[in-house]
Amino acid sequence: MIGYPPGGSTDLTGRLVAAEMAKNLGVTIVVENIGGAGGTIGAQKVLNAEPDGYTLLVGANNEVAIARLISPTVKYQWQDFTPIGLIASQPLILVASQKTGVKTTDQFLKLVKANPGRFSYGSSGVGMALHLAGEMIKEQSGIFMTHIPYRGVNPLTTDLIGDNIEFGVFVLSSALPHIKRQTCSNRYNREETLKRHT
Amino acid sequence: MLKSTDMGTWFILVGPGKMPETIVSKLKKSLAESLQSTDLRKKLEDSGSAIASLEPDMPKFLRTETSKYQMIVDFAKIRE
Repeated sequence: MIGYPPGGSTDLTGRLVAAEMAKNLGVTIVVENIGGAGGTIGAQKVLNAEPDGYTLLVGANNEVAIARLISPTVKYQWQDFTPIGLIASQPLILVASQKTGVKTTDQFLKLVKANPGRFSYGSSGVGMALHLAGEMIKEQSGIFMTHIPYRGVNPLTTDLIGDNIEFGVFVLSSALPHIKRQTCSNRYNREETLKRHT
Repeated sequence: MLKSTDMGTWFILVGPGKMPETIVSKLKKSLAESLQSTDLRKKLEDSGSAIASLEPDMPKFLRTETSKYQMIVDFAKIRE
């Protein structure tokens, strides 16, 4: 089970691991996407299943560890799962829109410090890992930016490319295509790779 | 407070609570072996992931991560 619709980083990771484990165990594994509420609907569904090893979740830190801290509608906590193992991690990245002209971390800090409250950054939603990362940057560097929660990374990407918002926090894999792709003519200035979690 | 904290995203394989130990060990072994596959490693790395190093103490890892998130949530007063 995967708590997101097909196409995102958790889905991709889950599908790759499921295929390899199916080979390893000599069984068929069916991947089911139960998206919604930041992965928590799928996670809850797994918790409701028989603990017989036939229903498992490939989850991200969003729904496994963070959601409960933020949303009163999430009834489970990480202790309710049986952990099998960590699969992988991805660094997060702060990107700046073209219009800001920001190309380095120093430029970012200088600009935002000089204009407290003038800039905004977007994330994929309230309480998502990307939001927490943005708040962590604010706490660590003593700067202030307004957080704008988007409904997922796609509308945030559109707004950054259209210069409707100055900054955004992304999982590296979802930002990379826009940083690299020539057709976007460097519409994103790669700002800073947040410290990789391993 | 959060000076030395880092923040990333991670992916984990979990099941419902109270799974029998024999099933858990079988799945742990299969996951560990699968993550050694050159093909899988390449595909995960191509997607921007770093393969997790073997984490013997998962509850400790999850406890540490969750308390870190709690600090950030408290700082920013994040509520849905």
